[in-house]
Amino acid sequence: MVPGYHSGGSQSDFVPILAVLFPSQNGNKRDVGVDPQAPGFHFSGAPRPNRQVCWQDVVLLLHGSGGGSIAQPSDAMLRWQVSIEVPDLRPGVYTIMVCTYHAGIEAPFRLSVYSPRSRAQVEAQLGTSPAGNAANGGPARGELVSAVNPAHLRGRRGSNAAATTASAAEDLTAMGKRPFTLTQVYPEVSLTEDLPTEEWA
Amino acid sequence: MWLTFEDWLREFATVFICREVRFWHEVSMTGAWYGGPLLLAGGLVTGSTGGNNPQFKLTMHSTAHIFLTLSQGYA
Repeated sequence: MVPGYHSGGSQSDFVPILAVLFPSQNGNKRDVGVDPQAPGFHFSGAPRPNRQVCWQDVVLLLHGSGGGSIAQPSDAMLRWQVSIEVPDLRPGVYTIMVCTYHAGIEAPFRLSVYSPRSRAQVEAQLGTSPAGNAANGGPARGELVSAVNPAHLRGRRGSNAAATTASAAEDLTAMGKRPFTLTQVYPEVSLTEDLPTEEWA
Repeated sequence: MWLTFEDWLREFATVFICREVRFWHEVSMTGAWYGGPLLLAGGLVTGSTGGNNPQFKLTMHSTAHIFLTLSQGYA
């Protein structure tokens, strides 16, 4: 028995969970009758030692001497976290379904979707590129930025510093947009907008 | 400096590995599973009530590397 876990619809601080991601069969509407054998179906997997069982945002990959036992949190603060990673998810509409291992469980959850920013965007966020400085209220595009070594930029991205600056500015514009949008479709809620928690302007 | 896997197993019981997402786009949503007439905790996706679980649409505007996490206990 997992500590803190209760079946029968009672509130629980700790429930085994899983997530699935698959190409939507019903557009932007709720999907039913999911086929896990269908192409493009991704499954977070059952929490196992060599999977991603988490403790307070930390991924536990191996637990127990010899790595043979399933992680069993013993503290009420512990919670499950599972993940799915897709290196090259193509354009389209996908369904993310969040599940527990038992019907009727009552428990809160948080779903987070991440996608890496471009190098130009990271540099801009750090203020280490001309475009980034401009975006952050610093020198405008094309102005001399003494902190940037043109030779360094040449070596990394372009044939000259000006080209690199322009490229960074273009990336900055393009990557101001996330490559994805997340919307809750079931249950239907009045608030269906994206809720970016760390969106960079 | 290195340690054999066998020695590591003898000396340690747990390893924590973190993913740094500081420079990643992030969108998070919270919700809850619950029972009752609506049964928003449908259990396993392949079960008869699997479709009752909370669902989200992820619209990809371009091909991208996606990493998603589902955590329990945040609402």
